[in-house]
Amino acid sequence: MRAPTWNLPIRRVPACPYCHTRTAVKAYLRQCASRCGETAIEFPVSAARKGECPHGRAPMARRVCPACGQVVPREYVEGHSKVVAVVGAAGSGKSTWLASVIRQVAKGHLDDRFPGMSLDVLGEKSRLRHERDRVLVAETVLHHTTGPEPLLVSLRVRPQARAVVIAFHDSADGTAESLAHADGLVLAVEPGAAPGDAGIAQLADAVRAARGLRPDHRIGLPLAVVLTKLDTVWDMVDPGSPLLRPVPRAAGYAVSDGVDVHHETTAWLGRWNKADLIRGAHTAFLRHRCFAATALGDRADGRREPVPYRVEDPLLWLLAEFGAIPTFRGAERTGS
Amino acid sequence: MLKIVEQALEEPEGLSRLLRHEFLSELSVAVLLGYQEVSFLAAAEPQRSVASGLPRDPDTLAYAVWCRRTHRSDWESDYRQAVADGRLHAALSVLSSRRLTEDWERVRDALAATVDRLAADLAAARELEDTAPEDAAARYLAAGRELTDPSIKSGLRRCPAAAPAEVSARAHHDAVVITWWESTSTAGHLTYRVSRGGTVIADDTDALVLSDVPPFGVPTSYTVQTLRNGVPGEMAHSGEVVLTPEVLDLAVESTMLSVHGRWRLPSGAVGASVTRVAPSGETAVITTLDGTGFDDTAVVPGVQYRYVVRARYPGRAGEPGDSAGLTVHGECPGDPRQVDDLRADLSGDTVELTWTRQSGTPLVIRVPHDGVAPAPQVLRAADAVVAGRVVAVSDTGRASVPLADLAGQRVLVPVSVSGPLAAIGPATRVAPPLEPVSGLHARRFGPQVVLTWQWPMWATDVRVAWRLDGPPTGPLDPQATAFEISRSAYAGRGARITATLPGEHWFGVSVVDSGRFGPMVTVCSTRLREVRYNVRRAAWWRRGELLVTVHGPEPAPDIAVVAKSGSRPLAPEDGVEVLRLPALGPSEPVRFRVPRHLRRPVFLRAFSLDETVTLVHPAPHLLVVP
Repeated sequence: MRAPTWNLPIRRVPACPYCHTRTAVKAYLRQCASRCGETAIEFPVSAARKGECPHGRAPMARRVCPACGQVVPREYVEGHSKVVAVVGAAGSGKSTWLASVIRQVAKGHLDDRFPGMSLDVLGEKSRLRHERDRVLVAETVLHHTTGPEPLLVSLRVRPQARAVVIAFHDSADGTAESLAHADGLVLAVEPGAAPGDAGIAQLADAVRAARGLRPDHRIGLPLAVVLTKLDTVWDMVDPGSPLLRPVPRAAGYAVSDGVDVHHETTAWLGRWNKADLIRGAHTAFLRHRCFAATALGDRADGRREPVPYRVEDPLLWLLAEFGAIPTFRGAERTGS
Repeated sequence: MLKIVEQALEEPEGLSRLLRHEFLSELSVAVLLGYQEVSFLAAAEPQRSVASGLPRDPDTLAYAVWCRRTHRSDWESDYRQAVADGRLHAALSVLSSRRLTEDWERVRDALAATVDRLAADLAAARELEDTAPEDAAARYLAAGRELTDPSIKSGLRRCPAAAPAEVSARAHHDAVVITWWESTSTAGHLTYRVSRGGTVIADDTDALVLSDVPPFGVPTSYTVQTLRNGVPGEMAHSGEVVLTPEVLDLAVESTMLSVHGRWRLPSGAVGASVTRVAPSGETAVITTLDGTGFDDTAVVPGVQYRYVVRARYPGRAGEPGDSAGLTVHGECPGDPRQVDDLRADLSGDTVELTWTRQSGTPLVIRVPHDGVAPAPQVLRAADAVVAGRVVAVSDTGRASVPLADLAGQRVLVPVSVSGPLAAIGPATRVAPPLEPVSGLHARRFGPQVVLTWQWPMWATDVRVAWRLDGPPTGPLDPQATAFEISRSAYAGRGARITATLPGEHWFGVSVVDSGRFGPMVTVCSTRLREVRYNVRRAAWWRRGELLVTVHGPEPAPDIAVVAKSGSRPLAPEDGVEVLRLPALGPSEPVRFRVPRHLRRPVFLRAFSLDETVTLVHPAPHLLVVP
């Protein structure tokens, strides 16, 4: 067994999650608190002296993008932010998966693997959106259209660890700006969709266009292909399949389990006439992995509480790709 | 003549009219002597013109009289006007003062006979005045229908109508009702005049009842006078009555130590008296605050008192008069008493609550948030929230609570509130029906089984029992392994059970409530026997060969090793079978090759041909032949 691999995050100039303008941390604006009254102003972070505004008072913690004027959480600006674009056809389960994985982590359902892991939704807009998606997951399975605003979360793998701030851009086709600045991609595919490449070629072209790459250039972004709504095909799967195996209790990303699931999912996608998807992902992306998950579990019997299964696998793989969590090859290791 | 003057004096403007008639008559007679005579007579006594209300200018007066007499040749109209006015004597004078035709002479004679007859009637009536006044009045009235004569009214005055037999006045609410008996007189049209003191409040009315609002608190009597054709008759008087309205806007408030009363005094009242009546009948006079309120501090908490408030009026001769009084009840709330007999019964979708009602103390039904009821105690009303949220408030001894309002909770706590204190009584539990769970489903993930089901409305806990090779006989099956899971724990992490042994695992789920179990629902999940196998490369000098090894103490099933290009085979027929191992084959590694014609990478997978056995590879990523 190899030792865990840690890729330490590298500090970089953060891009605004709304307008994607890269601005130095010190060039972001701060706002005077309400106590400054009518004299309240916005001033660059670099203009703050001893953490105080020009009026000598403690300013507001949030930052303001100087390019678009949107309020950006301080954690996003000063933390190690990552941008993840979640794409997929309408109704493929993007928002449901996203809401489910955030719920899993936020409610501590991964505590047995990552003791003390915590997740906070940042900003009022993100909170409102997550609340809406959470209600959708809890109450209905109908899909809905999401807006262009990102969902900002702050994730701490351990209580004392540095937070990883992730901006999830959730849209059907992926906006050019989000693809240009994405650090990872999630492509949601549902089992019953029509045969084809599930938009992988279009996605690859969009990423290449947004990043100015050649048409034959293999994209270095990690791509997680998530086979959603696994519960709808559970009965087709062999009992010995990794898709019906308990999730390993590894305190990191278990490569052996991930590869096993990847091969199994790939095989099923091929059986469902999604060979173009597999081929396209292999051709266009240097790093890609297939996952199978269900955000709702056995909802067909009318239960109200969702029982998600393996929804966290794509996120853990991306975190491992970002270097935020260790990876284990071979046998599982219990977290400490 | 003197009588005529007296009658004229009794009437307004009567004397003026009489003087005018006399003056004009003299002037009219002077017309026969010529205009100069008339003018002379009009100018001779100017004071008579003034007294008669005639024009002061004698020429104007003389000319008017001259024109009146000289230009009027229509004596017949004078006659007819006089007859129409009932002035039969004047009509007869018109006819008698000139030469008449025969026809007119017959008219004059008939008129003279009528006048004589009426004169006789009047004389007869005059004689009856003392002995039979009603008959005399009837004769006067009969003559009055044909003749206009002051003597008729004079006669009627001498025959007054009888007074009403009885007049009564009584207070009714804030007014006095006056009633009287009808007069015994029969002649003529009888009406009544009602007066209070010197004030006429109704005149010429034919009603026999009347309402009046006299000054409050003042003794008042009423007079009813009978009128016969408007001629005043005799009168009768009522007894005295005093109108004493009650106080206004009476209200009573209670504090923990005293009872306060407030009201407004009606006009005329000078104060009020308050009497407190205890339940035992004991009475006490309470001092009032400037007549508009009282503060009674000598009360026992929890005892309800009756207060009689009377408005006081000055009355007559310094003796005050009180109203009948208004009654109100006041009670200082004592310590709240616990309700210890709250009973809850299910009726459809409603919980019917009953208890022994406490007077004046509402009962608040609360539901603890966590289902744990606080101990019975007396505490501040503001602290009663420890008993949970409010689902019902009633002071009738019964209440209904919809099931949905309980939100799955079943503990109900009675809280009686009295002033700033509240008493928490013993809680009661709704005994719900123990219904089975529905939609029980088992999903197996290798050795782990996830059970899912739908909870009955009232259920908060279930007991899960499971055993191998047969369904549990019940929740307490000694051969079964069991645990209980709460609804909240189920909602958080689900029901997951690790059942590693191969075979049929039967799971039974039954609702548990306070040691009682509901019907058990079972579901089966089969755990296949697991056999491990391994595929590895052969020694380097056996290039391209692979070794497959089956591990495990138990006999291995028939195994087929399948190869597929590009992706993992999902079934034995989903690829090329490159090796088949019989069930009782060697336990040593078996060598095989992947056909060269298969495009790399090639994915290998071993399938058990026995459906009760599943094969597992410890490192599936090694099953890829690059």
